[in-house]
Amino acid sequence: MSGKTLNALLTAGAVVLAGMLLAWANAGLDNYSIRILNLIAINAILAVSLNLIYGFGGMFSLGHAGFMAIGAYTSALLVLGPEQKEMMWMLEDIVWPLSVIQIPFWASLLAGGLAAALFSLVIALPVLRLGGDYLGIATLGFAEIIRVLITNSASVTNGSLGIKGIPPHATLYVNYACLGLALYCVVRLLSSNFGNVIKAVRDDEVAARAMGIDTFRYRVLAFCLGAFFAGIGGALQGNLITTIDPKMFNFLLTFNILMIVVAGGLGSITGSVIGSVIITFMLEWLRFADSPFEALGVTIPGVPGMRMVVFALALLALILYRREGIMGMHEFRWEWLFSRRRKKP
Amino acid sequence: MTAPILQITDLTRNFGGVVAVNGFNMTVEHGMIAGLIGPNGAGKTTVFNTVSGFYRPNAGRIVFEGRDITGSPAHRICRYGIARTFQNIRLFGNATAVENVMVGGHVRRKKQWWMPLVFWPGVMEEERSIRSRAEELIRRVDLERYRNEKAGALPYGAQRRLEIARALATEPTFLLLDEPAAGMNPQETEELMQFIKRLRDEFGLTILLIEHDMKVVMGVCERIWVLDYGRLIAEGDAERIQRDQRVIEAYLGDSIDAAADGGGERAGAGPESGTEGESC
Amino acid sequence: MFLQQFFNALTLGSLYGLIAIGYTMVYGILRLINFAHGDMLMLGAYFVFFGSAIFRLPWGAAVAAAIVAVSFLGVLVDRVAYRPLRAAPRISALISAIAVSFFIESLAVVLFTGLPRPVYQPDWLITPFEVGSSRLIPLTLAVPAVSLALVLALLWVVYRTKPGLAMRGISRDIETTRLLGVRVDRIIAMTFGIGTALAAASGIMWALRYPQIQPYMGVFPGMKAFIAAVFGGIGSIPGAMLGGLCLGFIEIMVIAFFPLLSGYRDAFAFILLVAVLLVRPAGLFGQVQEDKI
Repeated sequence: MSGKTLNALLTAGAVVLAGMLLAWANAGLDNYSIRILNLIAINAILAVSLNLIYGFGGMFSLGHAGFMAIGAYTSALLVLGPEQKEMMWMLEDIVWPLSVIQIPFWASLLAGGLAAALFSLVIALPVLRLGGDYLGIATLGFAEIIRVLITNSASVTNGSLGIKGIPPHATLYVNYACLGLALYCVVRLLSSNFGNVIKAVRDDEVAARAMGIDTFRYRVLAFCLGAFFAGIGGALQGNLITTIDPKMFNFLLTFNILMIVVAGGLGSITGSVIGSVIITFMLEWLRFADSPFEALGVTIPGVPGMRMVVFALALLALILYRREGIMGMHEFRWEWLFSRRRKKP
Repeated sequence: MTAPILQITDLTRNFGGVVAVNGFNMTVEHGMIAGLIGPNGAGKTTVFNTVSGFYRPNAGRIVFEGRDITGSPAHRICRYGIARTFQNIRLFGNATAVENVMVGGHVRRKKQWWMPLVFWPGVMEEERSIRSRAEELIRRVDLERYRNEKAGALPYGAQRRLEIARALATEPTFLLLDEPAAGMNPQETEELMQFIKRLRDEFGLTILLIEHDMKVVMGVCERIWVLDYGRLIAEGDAERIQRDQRVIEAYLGDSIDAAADGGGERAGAGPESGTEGESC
Repeated sequence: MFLQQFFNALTLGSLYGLIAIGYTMVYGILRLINFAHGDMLMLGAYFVFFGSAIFRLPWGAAVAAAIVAVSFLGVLVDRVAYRPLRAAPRISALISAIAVSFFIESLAVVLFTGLPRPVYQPDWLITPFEVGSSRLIPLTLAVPAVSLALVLALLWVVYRTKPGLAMRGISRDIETTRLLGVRVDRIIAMTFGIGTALAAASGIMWALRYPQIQPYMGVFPGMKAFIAAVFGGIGSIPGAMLGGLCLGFIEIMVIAFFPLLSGYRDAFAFILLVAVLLVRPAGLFGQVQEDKI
C-alpha cells in the first residue's frame, strides 16, 4: 500500500473516530462541557481563518471581530422568520426585503461568510495595493466602525437592542462539521501550489513578482478567504448563543483569536487547532481570576478585568520569548506520528 | 535576419536628482549571450530592474519580442517570457528547493486556485506536472541531493543555481542574470561558464548577464555593452571591448578612486554615492 | 457661530496633529504602528487627574509630572516590547504592539475602574468671552497655541540638533547610521520619549477640552491620529500636524453642516484613509518609497 493511500485511510479513520467521540460527548456530557466543546470548534475555525491572513499571508489584520459581526448579523437576519423579526424590531420597522426573507440555516451560514468576504474586499482593495502596511489600523478601525454602523442602522439590525431568539442551529455536530469543512478547504488549498505561492508572497514579495505572481491579487485572496471563514465563525457563534448585539463584537474577541493563533504558531494549521483547545480552556479557567480565589492558604480578592490583564501579558510574553508558538510552522503528519519515513521516487 | 528579441531605446531612469541610466540603447538578438558591464554604480542593475518591470522608466521604450513592455508590471513581464535572478540572492528561504521552483512554475498554470477544492478535472494532473517539472529542473541544475532542504540552508553556489532553476520554471525565452559569478571561486566560475552556455543551448534561451568577473564576461558573452555613469560608452564583442580606450579609462578611473577611498572616512563619497538605491 | 466652529476644529485638529507626530516619528524609523500610542494619551490624562486628586500637586506641577512619567513609560515600552523584536519579522512587532496596547487598557480598567471620571478644569481656561456674536473660551485658543509651540520646538530639535540629525539618518537607513557610530537604540528610545511626551500633552489637553476620562479614551483619537499621519505623509512632522488639522476640520465641519451624520462621525477618518490610499498614497508631504531591489 502506498504512503498516500495509507494516509488517506488514517485520516478517514480519524474522522470516524472524531464522529464517535462527538456522539458520546453529545449524549454523556453536561451542558457546560458541551458549550466549551462548541466554543473550541468555533474558535478553531476563527483561528484557522486568522492564521490564513497572518501566518500564511503575512498580513496584520485586527478586523476579525468585525467580520464575525457581519457574519453573525447576516445569518441571524436571514434565518429568522418574518413574524419574529416584525415583533422584535421595536426602534424602527425592519426594511424590505429583510422583512419577508427567510432561508435555511446552512444557506444563511454561507451568506454570512460571503457578506464578510465582500466587506473585506472593500478594505483590501485600497489598503493592500500599497503592500498592506496600514492594514492593522484600517481593519481595527473597520471593526469599530462596524459596531457603530450596526448600532445606528436600527431598521436593518435592530440597533443597540440586538437580535434575540435566534434558533440554536449551531449544535455540536454542526460546529464540528463546519470545522471539518473549513480545515479541509484550508489544508487542501495550502497543500496545492497555491500554498507555496502565498508563502512566497509573504517571504519575499519582490522575488514573487519576478516569478510572475500578481502579489496584490494573492494577498487580497488570502485576506478575503480569511474573512469568509471568520464570517462563518461569527454566524455559528450567533446561532450558538442565540443572542447577538453590537457590544458583543468588541476588540476582546479579536484579541482572543490572535492569542490562539500566536500560541499555536503563526503558519501552522495544526497549531491553530491545538491552540484553540488550550486557550478556550484557559479562558474559562481564567474566569476565576475575576472572582475571589484562594492560593497557598491566602484568599486573593477577585478583581474584575484581571483576566484581560493576564491575557495581554501572556500574549506579550509569548511573542517576546516564544515567537514560534507550540508548532512553529510545522504541521501534523501521520508519518510524524508513526515516525515512518516517506519515500518518494 | 530576424527581429531582435529585446530592443531598448533611449532608456532613462532617475532617482531623485541622480540619473542612474541616461539614454541607454541596446538591441539583443535571439539566442545570444549578452553582457552588461561597467564600474560599480554605473546603472547596470537599474537597467535590469527596468526591463523586468520593477522600475518604471522616466523615458524611453523597451520592446520585447515585438511587444512594447515599457512600464508593464513585473509579474506580467515574467509572463511575457522574461525571467531574472537577483544580485543578492532572493530565494524563499523557508521553503524547500523544490517548492521554490514550483512557485516559478505557477505562472504557467491554467487552472484556478479554488479548483483543487472540488477535484476539478485535470487540476490534480496540473499540480503533479508542476511538481514533476520542478523536480526535473532541480535535476538539470544538479541540485538533486538538496531538493527537500530549506532553500535558506543551501550552500551559496547551490543557492545561485537554485535561483536560476526557479527562473527557468517560468518558461522564459529571455533570462536576466545579475552577477551570477559573484562569490564563486575560480573552479566554480569555470563550471558556471559552461553551465550558462549549456542553458542557452538546452532551453533555447537568450541570456543577458551583468558580471564583474571579466573572465566570465569575455569567456561567454558574444556581445558586450559597457555602462559608465548611466551612459553607454562602448558596445561590441569581447576583443573590441578589451581594446576600447574609454572602457579602460572607466575601469582604471574606478580603481584609482577606490584606492583614494581606502581611508574609509570618505565611505560613500566615491562614484558609487547617490546610487545606493540602484543596487541591492 | 462660525468662529466658534472654526476654533473647535482648530483645537481638535491640533490635538490630532500632536498625537500623529508620535506615530509618524516611530513609523518613519521602525515602520511600526505603535498601537500603544493612543493609550499614552489616556495615561497622561489619568496621571494629571491622580496627581492633583491624590498627591495634591498644584495643577501645573501635576501636568509636568504626568508628561515626564508618560514619556518614561513610552521609552520603557520600546525597551521591553519592541527592542527585542527589531530583528524579528515585522508582524511580531505589530503583535507585540497590540498586546501592549491591550495590556495598558486592561490594566487601566483594573486600576482606575472603567467608570468615566470628571476632570478638573482651571477656571481661567474655561471662562467664556465674546468675540462679535461668538462665545469662545480661552482653552480653544490655548490648545492650538500650545500645540504650535510644541511642534516648533520639535522641528528645532529634529532639524537643528545632533540627535535630530541622527533621527533623520535612522529613518533613511538604520544600518548605515549605525555604522557611522550613532547609538541607534538610544536615539530610538529618545524618539519614543519625545513622541509619547507629545501624546501625554495632547491627552491632558484632550481631557481639558472634553472633560471626562476613561480607560478607552485613547483608542479612537489614536487611530484617527494615525490616519492623519498617513494623510499628511507618513514620516513627515509638518505633514502629521497638517493632516491632523485637516482631519479636525473635516470632522467638525461635516457635522456642523450635516448634523444627521453625527452618529457616523468616527467613520469619517477611515473614509479619508481609503481615499488617500487610492488617490495619493504618499500623503500630502510624503515621498513615494521605492522598493529596494
